[in-house]
Amino acid sequence: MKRLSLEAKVGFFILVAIALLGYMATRVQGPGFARKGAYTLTAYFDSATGLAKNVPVEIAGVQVGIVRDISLDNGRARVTLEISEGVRLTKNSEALIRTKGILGDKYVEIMPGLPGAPPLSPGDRIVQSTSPTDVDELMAELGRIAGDVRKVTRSLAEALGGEDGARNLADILQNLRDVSMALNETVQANQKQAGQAIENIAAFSATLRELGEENRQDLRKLVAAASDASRSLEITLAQLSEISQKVNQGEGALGQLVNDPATARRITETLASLESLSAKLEGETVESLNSTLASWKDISNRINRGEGTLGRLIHDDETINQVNSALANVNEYLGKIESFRTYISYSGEYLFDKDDARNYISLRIQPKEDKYYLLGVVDDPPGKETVTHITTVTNGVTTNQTVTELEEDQIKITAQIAKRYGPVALRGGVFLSTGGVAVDYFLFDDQVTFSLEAFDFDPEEAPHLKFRADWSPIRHLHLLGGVDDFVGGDDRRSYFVGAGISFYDEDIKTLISGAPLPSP
Amino acid sequence: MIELSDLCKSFGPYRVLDHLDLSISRGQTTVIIGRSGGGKSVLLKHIIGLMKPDSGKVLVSGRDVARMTGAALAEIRKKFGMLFQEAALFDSMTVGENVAFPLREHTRLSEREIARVVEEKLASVGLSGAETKMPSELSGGMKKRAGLARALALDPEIILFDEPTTGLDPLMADAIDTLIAKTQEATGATYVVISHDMEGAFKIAHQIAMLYEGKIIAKGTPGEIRNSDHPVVRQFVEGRAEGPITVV
Amino acid sequence: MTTFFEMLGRPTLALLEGFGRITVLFLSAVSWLFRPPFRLRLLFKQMEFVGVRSFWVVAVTGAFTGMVLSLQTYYGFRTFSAESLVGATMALAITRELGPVITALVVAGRAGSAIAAEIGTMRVSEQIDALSAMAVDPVQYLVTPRILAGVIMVPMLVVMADFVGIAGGTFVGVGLLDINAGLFMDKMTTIVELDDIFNGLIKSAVFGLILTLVGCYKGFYTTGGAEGVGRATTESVVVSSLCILVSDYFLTAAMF
Repeated sequence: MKRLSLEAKVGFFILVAIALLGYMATRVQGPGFARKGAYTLTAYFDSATGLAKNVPVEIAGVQVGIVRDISLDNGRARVTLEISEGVRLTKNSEALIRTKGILGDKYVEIMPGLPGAPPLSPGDRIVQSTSPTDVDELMAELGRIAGDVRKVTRSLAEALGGEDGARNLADILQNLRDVSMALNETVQANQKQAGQAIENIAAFSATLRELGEENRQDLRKLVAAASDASRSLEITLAQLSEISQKVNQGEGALGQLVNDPATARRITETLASLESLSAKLEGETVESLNSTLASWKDISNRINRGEGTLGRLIHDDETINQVNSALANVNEYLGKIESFRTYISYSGEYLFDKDDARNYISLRIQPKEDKYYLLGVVDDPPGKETVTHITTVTNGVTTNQTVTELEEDQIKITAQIAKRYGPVALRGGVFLSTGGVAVDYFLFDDQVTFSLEAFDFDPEEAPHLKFRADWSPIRHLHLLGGVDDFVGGDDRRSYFVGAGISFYDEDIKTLISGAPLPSP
Repeated sequence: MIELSDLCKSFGPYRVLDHLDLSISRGQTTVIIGRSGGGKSVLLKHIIGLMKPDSGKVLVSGRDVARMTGAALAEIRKKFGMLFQEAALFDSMTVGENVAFPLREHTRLSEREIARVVEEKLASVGLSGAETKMPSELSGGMKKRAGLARALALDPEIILFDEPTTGLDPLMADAIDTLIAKTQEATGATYVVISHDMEGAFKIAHQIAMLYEGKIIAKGTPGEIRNSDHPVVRQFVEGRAEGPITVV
Repeated sequence: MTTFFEMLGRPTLALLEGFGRITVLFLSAVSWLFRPPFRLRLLFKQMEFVGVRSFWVVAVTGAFTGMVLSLQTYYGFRTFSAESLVGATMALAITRELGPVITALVVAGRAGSAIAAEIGTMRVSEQIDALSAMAVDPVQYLVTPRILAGVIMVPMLVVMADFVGIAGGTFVGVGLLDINAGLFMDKMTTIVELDDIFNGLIKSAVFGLILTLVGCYKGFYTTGGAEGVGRATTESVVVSSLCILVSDYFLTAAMF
């Protein structure tokens, strides 16, 4: 074989290099739009932070131009856009600075206006513009949320927190206890007296009969006397009736015993302050507290109403016992509320594969160390994909249709009950508005939690399984990450990271200990 | 033909040529003798413009090589042939290509004519048929001959020889000397030879010049030099270590 | 007696002298680009030497560079689930930086040193003087074709190194690490732009100039026989590698 000449070798080499260069040049995407015939538009933004020259301008994800220039104009960012010749925009189009990918590259998105509006001509200004939500703004938003949380916790603290609050609560409980004891004593004492009175009446009437039998002759006289006696009996009975009436109305000695005006006032005051507390509270916290307070109110109302109940109290041991045990329950319940813990938390998860975030706001009511209720709302933009198979028969032709619907931006509900056994907790209830169960595993003094949740059990699809790791490096702050819907296939699976904050009542005191507490 | 006047050249603190004057006659072989490292090669390189003097003139055919650059220098160099100490054949070329090199560079001869000239020049130095050999395959003496053939290729008016017999055995040295004398006679060109080999010098020279401490201290025919009473020349001619030249 | 200032001054002077010489060498080499005779044959010979014969070493280096880049970025990106960006990162690094620089360093080691050795040998054996004596300008004969060959062929080699490197990186990313091929290629072609490749080629042309010029310069000013040739060879590799890396920074700063 003849060796290639020098020139042939060099020529071949250069040809190969140029061919490779040409190939690579066609593979990489060029400017993405034709510069020829392009026209410019301007848009003003409050902030063009992160935006750079030559970044793409897109409509519905299709590049239609580039950012030609960014300059400052009267304290606003003036962004000059170069748009491809064929792209026609109308006056009511909107320009937005958006973020692409995890690297946070900014680009300009144009939301085209309605087709009927007058068209934009070269050099025109896009009037509507939206600046990017940047990290600063996000922090500001978080700050506002924190402010709201603080407001809620402050009112909670006003009611519960601080020494005054605790003392007031203790006073209330003491009063309630006093009331119930007084009631108990009164009822018991009255029972004896009433019994004696009735016995006396019976003995008196028996004596009367005996007198009549023995002295018939004197009967007439006696009848006359009896008439007097009966009149006085009538008076006695009337007085008795009056007494009981007075007792019922809360007057007189007995009434005072039962319903000392001071005691009554104090109960009323207590209730009023409880009512005002509930009025101060808002949201879900309020709801649960409201219901708690409502039950208190109900009980105290029954006490307050008195009338029938008190009458029955006087005559019926059963009722008394029930009231007693009810009051004991109230006492126990109120005692528990003291060891009650309420957590308020917010957390956000960023789902990489969905390029979207889930926000959780939840209230965790923990009556006992090993048991809690979780109530919350979830802003779940990724939503859930629903696949519906529709089979239609038209003229004997069967058509199968698959409709995929994506629920978006739904507010979903969390309502769960959890029970803890050592390092493991089991949860069940409502997850993202569907039924489900979960296992939590706690490590390092609960600083690290691994959770596996399973919910949305659909017979036709794999259930929604979510694995989450939660690490709380410092109190109140949580960092979390995991994989969502990992058995749901490539299009449903998404990795996520996130962060959260949570507070419970003890923290609230710490949080606002600097601020003086108004006395209730 | 060649006039060197008031030539000075220093390398750092060392003055190699010190107000040197020398005239070299046309059509003759002039041998410049001197000690090794005494500035002979420097002198030779000044003649062909490979080195520029600090001061002084190098007149070749009345034109000052020392002031020439570029095209003019190239033009005057075409009159020269030069045989370097180690022959300086191009390693990357065959012997034939080496000899053909100046022809290809400076003539418009056809390849066939070039081949003919190459063959003729190689034959004249006794290397017939060595065209396709590479320089690395040649012995020292053969390299010198091939170098001479290359120097002769353009039939130059002046040929410079830098130590033509150094590093050769006496027989080969004698053969080279004979070849130089023979070709000079045949071409009638001006030969400038630098050497420290007195035997060879007496054999080929028409004129001998002695270079010592940057100056030409004696010049004359071989006979005059042999009979010179200049002590330095005497010491050199006689090859003694003792004398005005301190050897050790 | 050597004073402090002499100690300080001599290297400085030597450096300045070196700069001066290399500049003069470069300028005269460039001037010979526009003056006859044009030695196409010599140019082709040098193009073959600098370019064609460096192909395999450049290809192997490029391939493994791409492969290890994919591997390394994969381990990094996996921690935040950005595996699909491995291709883009790898391709950007190769086209903008590693392709040109590694190719230039390899060619400096292979061809630049050979140039220094060849010209250095010619210098110490008086072949360069012989050229001059035969009225042939050694700069025109030796330096110009080599520099031109470097400027032309190093970018060509870089194109090949880019291609082979990206191919190697893709093989590792998609073939071995099982990154989704569609995403891998899509991110790569979206993020890498033509400018990235071309700027890499412009840089590599400068590198080609540097490594051949330094090789020629070191060879041209060789003194001290065979030992000097060895020294010139080593120095040419060291100096051109340094110059390549330093100029790379400034070129990159100027271009991107």
